Amino acid sequence: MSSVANGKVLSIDSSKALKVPGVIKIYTPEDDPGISFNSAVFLPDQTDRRDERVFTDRPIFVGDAIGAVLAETDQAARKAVALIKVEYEEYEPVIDPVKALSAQSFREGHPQVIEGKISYGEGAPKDAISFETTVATPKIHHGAMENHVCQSYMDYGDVLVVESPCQMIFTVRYALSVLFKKPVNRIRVVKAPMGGTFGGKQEAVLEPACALMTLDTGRPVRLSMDRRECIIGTRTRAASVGKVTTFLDDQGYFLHRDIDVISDVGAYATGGHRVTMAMGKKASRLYRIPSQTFKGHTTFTNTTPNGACRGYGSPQIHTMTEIHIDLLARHLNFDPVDIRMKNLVYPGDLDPTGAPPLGNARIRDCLAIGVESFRWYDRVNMVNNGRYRKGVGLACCTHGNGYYGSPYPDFLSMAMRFCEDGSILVNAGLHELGNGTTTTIGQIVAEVLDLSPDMIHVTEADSQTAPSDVGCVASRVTYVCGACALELAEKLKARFISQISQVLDEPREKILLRDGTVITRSGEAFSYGDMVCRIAKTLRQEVGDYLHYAPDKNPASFGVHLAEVEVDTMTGLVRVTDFMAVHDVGKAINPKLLNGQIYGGVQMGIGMAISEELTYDRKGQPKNSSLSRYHMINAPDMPPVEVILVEENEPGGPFGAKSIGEICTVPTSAAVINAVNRALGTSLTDLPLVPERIIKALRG
Amino acid sequence: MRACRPSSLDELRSVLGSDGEALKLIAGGTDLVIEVRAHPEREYSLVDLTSIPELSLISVEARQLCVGATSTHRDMETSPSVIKHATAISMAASSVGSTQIRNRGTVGGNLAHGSAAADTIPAMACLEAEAVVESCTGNQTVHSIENFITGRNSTVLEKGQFISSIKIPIREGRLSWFAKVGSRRAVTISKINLAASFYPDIPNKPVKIYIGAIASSPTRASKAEEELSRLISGSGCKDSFLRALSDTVADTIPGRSSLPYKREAIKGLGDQLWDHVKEVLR
Repeated sequence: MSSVANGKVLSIDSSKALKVPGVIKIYTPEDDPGISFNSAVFLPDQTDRRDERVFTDRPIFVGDAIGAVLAETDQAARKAVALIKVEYEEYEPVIDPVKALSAQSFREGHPQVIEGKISYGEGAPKDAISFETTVATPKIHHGAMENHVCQSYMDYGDVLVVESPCQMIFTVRYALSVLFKKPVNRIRVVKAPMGGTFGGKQEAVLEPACALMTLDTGRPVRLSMDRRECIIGTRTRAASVGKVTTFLDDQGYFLHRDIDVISDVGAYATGGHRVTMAMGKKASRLYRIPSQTFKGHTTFTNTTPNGACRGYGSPQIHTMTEIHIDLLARHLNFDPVDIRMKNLVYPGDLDPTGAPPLGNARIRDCLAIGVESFRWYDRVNMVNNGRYRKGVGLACCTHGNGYYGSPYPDFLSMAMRFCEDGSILVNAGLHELGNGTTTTIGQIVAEVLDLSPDMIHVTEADSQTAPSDVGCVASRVTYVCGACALELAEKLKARFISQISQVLDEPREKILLRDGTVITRSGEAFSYGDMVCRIAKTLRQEVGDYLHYAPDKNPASFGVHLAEVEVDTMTGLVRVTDFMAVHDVGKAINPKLLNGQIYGGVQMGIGMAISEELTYDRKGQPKNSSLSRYHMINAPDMPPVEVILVEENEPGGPFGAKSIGEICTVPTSAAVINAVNRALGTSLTDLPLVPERIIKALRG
Repeated sequence: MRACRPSSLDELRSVLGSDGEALKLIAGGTDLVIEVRAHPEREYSLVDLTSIPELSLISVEARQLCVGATSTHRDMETSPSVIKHATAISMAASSVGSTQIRNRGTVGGNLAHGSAAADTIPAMACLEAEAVVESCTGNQTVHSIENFITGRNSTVLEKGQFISSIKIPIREGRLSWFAKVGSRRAVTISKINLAASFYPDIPNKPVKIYIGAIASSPTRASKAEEELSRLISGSGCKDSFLRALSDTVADTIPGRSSLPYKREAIKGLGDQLWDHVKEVLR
């Protein structure tokens, strides 16, 4: 990995490294296939810039891959890497995202800024009141338990197999097919079990280098990172700076809003501009705003690239707008709950930009319930003096349910069949990220086919054996894949009953499926397994079916977070002392897993608010590349989190369910910041609120 | 990498005598293992001290508390003798890292690593502790904790030497205290810390206050000591006390980018110390 932030590799001296016992081969930029690719692209029409190399001689961040050592053991490889001497020509790095707007591009042949705009309505009215805020959000490490890893080998002669704990096998397959010009059907990408991702494993990060070494040597290759490498050399949440200006009438109704966002995507394009524009797409789906202009400026810095990170821009945009609304309310003397209630969307509202309708939007219920249950009005005017100051804050948010309505096609297929023992195999291209995807899908199938969930096995993605599925991304799994599983299970149930009816010569409507048992009109009972065997023998048929599914809706999920903080005005330490999360989830398929998602989302959001930030020195060297220097919220700093669910049924979702995995981290940071600002009477907008920033605000 | 594990002090001395130059001593390894992993190209020759029983004893002898060098932070956190006679060390040890780190990391290792942010060192300094250093020939030298660290990650220790114990004088009527501030409540490196010892019932006995994590060695806060003495004598002004602490920080790290924060944060720790002493006096 490059040790310079912006430079050119002049020479690589591997002579000492080659002498290390166990070293097989040392790869350098000369072994790069010479094809530029984009690690986030999964279909050829996607226009994101192809600016990445497997091994580059023009590194543009500390951690950029310039080569690799293939060795018999991990120790030998690491020793050899340490003995390689790389000589660089160094150039001045670009670090600051705002200064980056006017910097020279260090990505030769590519623009330094990518602009995007989403706009509707008639613009800002002339004589309205207006209020402006600028909010900065930090660059963040995903912090999954498992660092990046993958392995590859050749199988059946010419099939390249890559086992990867990833979120989108077809993105990995696409990148490999572009780089190595292999027929796509000879690239087998298998989703491996993973220890978390939060978006960090959505793009093809390690797989190209790993596959390159396997294709070159024919050997099985495992490529893994340690925590430092994972922090500096994979993906991050984009840092952003957003200026929000709201125009409103004297009753507090919003008339127009301007949002101008600079998003720092780091060194490479990856999916960075998609994240910038995803911020804009969320901005028209929470409040009824008759007119709005969102401008996004994606800029490049010599820092770790950004990529997907839980919420995909949604935490950034909501942090900006929800802190803004609180400061606006205070400045213009509105109640922060009232002004939100005046402007929040209603069930059935449309998205004024033409994006899919909002569906059964229950944000107003969430806010009303949250304010009541948190005893907001008892706590909002707490008497505050002395060293420790308390305050409460809240924030609202919305997020999506899949890709439908976006430029990315949303579809999948599944196969489902009964086995001879009555168990069910669901053949799907799913990616279990540790959040309960396969459990949830299994529960849905079990509910329809009336048998115990432990009788259902749901497969994960395998590009040679599983049906197509875009990936476990975009909060689409329960709403989209779950709906597919539900429809297919119903289809399979109808087929099963029809087959039973033929075998037993009973009318379909007299056949009952109950807890793994077929019950006939006469009260005769057969286990599912016996019946499957009888159908095989009598009808020479499998009890199975296949479904192609493409959603025709993409409703919004909603949530409100309420936080109580205590700020130590002498040391600047912020402690979140109480927390409530109210979420419009349509229907909780598995309440325990769902609550688990929310606890974790709150933990990440508090980190973004008060402690997590990847920073770089003037030379572009990462300043906190270990977990002892990069502080995530740990158990002693976690508040009790109370969860309240609003379950009002979302049409299109399985049993009315919709997404939770990403949205539960979206409003957290703003709620915490709003609480701190209320506790201290400050207008802090520069995240995270580390002790130094708090003390600076209090002492000047 | 080579490693050996002597099981007695004699064996250790003979190992150190034979090949003293290239050896690295390892106890809990909470610092050294990180270094070893970061430098796979280096050939390490490690001597593991954790199987030498004498080095991990905690005992009270002749008006002093003797803490063996390989006593862990967990040992100091829980030892009744340390809690009683060296409360500040126990408090400091309990605030270090995670449970796992405290179970591994040792008092001697903490000292030998010479980190400016080490929590137990200002606590030891305020109790006038001394480190007993032995060489392979069996020579013993005693160093005050205050002068043990000579610079960034460097100490008075020479090749072939090892810390055998820390000796803390037991003084009648003396209490001690420690607190720190980091980026979060637990599992955090000190941005700044504060340790003090005092005699609540004996007004003319000396108060000792040390600030840690602002210089390579703990920094004595003499002005603040005077003000806390006044409190014990029945007067004293909290504001003057906090200002004195803050001034010591400002004088120690003039112009450093961390100064604006640390000169304020020390007042927070001072506030806690002042209130604690007042509570004890009541």
